[in-house]
Amino acid sequence: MNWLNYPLVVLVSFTLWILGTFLLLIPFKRKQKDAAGLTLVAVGILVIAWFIIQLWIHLDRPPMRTLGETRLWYGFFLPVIGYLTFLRWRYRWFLALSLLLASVFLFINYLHPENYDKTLMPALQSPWFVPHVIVYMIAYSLLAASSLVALKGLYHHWKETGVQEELSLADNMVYIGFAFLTLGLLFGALWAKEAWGHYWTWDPKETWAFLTWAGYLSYIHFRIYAPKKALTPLLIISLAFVILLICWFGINYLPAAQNSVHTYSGS
Amino acid sequence: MEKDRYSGGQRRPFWQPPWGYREGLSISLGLLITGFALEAATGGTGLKSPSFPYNLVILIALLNVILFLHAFFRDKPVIRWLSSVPASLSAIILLTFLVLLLGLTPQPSIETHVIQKHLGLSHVVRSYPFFLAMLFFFLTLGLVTLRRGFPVKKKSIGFLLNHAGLWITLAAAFGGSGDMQRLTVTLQEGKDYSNNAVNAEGEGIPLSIAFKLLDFSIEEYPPKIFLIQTSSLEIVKQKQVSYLESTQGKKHTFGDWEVQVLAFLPSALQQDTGFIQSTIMGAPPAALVEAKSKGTATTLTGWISSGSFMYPPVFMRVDEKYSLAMAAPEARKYSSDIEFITREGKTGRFLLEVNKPEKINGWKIYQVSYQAKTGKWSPESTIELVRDPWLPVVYTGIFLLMAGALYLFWIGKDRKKSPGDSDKKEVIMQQMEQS
Ligand code: HEM
Repeated sequence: MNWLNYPLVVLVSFTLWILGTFLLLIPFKRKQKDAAGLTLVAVGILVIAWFIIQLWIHLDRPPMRTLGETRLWYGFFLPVIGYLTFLRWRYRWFLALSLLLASVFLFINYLHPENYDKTLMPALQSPWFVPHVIVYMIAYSLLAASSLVALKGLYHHWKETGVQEELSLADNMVYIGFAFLTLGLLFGALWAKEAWGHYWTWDPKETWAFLTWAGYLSYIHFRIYAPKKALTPLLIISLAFVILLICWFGINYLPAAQNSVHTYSGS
Repeated sequence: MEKDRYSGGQRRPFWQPPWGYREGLSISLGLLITGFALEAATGGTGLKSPSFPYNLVILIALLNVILFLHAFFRDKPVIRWLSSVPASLSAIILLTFLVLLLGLTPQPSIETHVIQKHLGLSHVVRSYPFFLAMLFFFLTLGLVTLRRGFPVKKKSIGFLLNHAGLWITLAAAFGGSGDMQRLTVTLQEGKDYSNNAVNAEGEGIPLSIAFKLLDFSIEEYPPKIFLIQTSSLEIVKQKQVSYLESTQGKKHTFGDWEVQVLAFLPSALQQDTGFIQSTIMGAPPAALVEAKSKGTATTLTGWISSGSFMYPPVFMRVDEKYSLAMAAPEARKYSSDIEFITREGKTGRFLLEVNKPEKINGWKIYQVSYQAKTGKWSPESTIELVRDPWLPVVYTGIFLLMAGALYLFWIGKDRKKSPGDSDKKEVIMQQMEQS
């Protein structure tokens, strides 16, 4: 099995995922349909896994060296985590979101076959790369979703129609998102130790990652002590998300980021 | 619902227990001002991280203070408050504010304004305000961990993993930073063993291990070929991919031109007839390319080269405005082949690569850099030696935190208490606070 079979593999998985998601999302005879939908999604994931194993055998090394190869792992792990999260929390939208994200990465590979031979720069060639990125993608998508919920909450607060429902959904998203954010931060630290000799150097990206983390940490603790307050926690989520966006996109423009090891522009 | 309890409120006079956010944030502000004052008074030099055994003594003292306060004064209002959410958030906010300053000012910047220096902003993590913030943080986090985490119950395991894990990680990372040694050694090909290391301040430090560089090498990607504007040397962006990879047989369309690589030499020199392979130092990569114009049906053939630190680049003009040019190759991997001998007489040889550190005699050794100007002909390689005796403790904390994160994912927000119960909890907490 090599990259030539890739379009077929992707087509099969996409079809299974679309059918599966469809069965999971329509609110009708849930009991029977859920089992069928979950099976289809799982088979779709197994197809990707099978492709990775075959490619591994074909290449005679772990397929983790090129941009295209790392995207395969996103395409595998994002659905796996979405699936586990569904089994635990029954969030249908989250499973759909993780399948969509995975599909985007797999599809980019299909559109840009030259990614298969784009070897990553030396510092990125690490077993930590894939887990670090995946965990952060999941954290960011959940925390982004929590901000949307917070916006809705702010609207309801302004209309004075009660926001407890939004807050409790936001709590769940932030708890799970924060768990992934913490894992991403720690994976990053372990990786940095291997690649750059120290686990934490207050590099601008690390600094802003800490600030993002502290923002959601404040939300979690504020909610414990004052569960009835509505406006403040909603504002904390909004502010934390702004920090998250700065951490994600804005770093390159900050004066403090002149020599961040994390700005890979120009390659 | 006593709304005001959270923000201090008018009913309870300022500073009268039980304290809340108002007192907490005032304490944070007080610590911040005190910190800045101390920093300015000491000329903006910051603190030096204590090294062994002082750091260990300080940490044990801090731990003992926390245990002592918890054991004997846990019911005093101030200690009760120190292990509450308002105190915790005040500490987190103070710390976060300082990190925000750190995130907004370049560290360490070359042109430090004197005010910036005297407030400690050129070295935030070593400054007095940061030190005070950390003390406040360790105190609250330590006290809350003891209060809620012990005695250990099944329900408190997640709490304990997260809070104790964080305390241990940060205590070992900050407490141990003074013992961390990072030294670099620059090795030259063809020179004998060297044990001359340099620290961050540029002081020479002799090592108990000596290294000899047998060979430094860089593997490169095939360089990229671009269409450029001859006058400005600017790359002409194409619709999808803007470059052609210099590998024999590869083709790419640049606007009207269809370009193919007829031959590629990774290392070559220009002769009258074109480029020929060469292994001498500085010989740049070169490619023989053919460009066919779809519009005018002309075909051009010629050599292009990226040049190197010794040779100029060679372009191929395709018309009066545009040329084909080769970019400097990018490194795929760089590695140093190194022999070493220790003072005890142990010898060995290893291949050092980025992301693949070596361990010798308690040092972790990393490939750091090479001479940028000469690139793959670099006659030297810089390696870094790192020793961090506290690392096992930091990793212990990190693994507790990871377990805590998994727990958080799996359990989520504890929903066993119905909303009514959370009211009850508040009532109980309030009663406790007032007792
Ligand atoms: C890894 C970071 C942290 C995580 C994941 C975390 C998570 C949590 C969670 C889930 C709770 C609720 C526990 C329960 O309801 O039983 C909690 C409570 C609490 N946490 Fe944290 N926390 C973290 C860091 C901190 C820090 C840094 C502080 C203080 C500086 C702190 C102070 C507190 C306090 C005061 C409580 C309330 C305990 C109570 O009175 O019930 N936490 N934390």
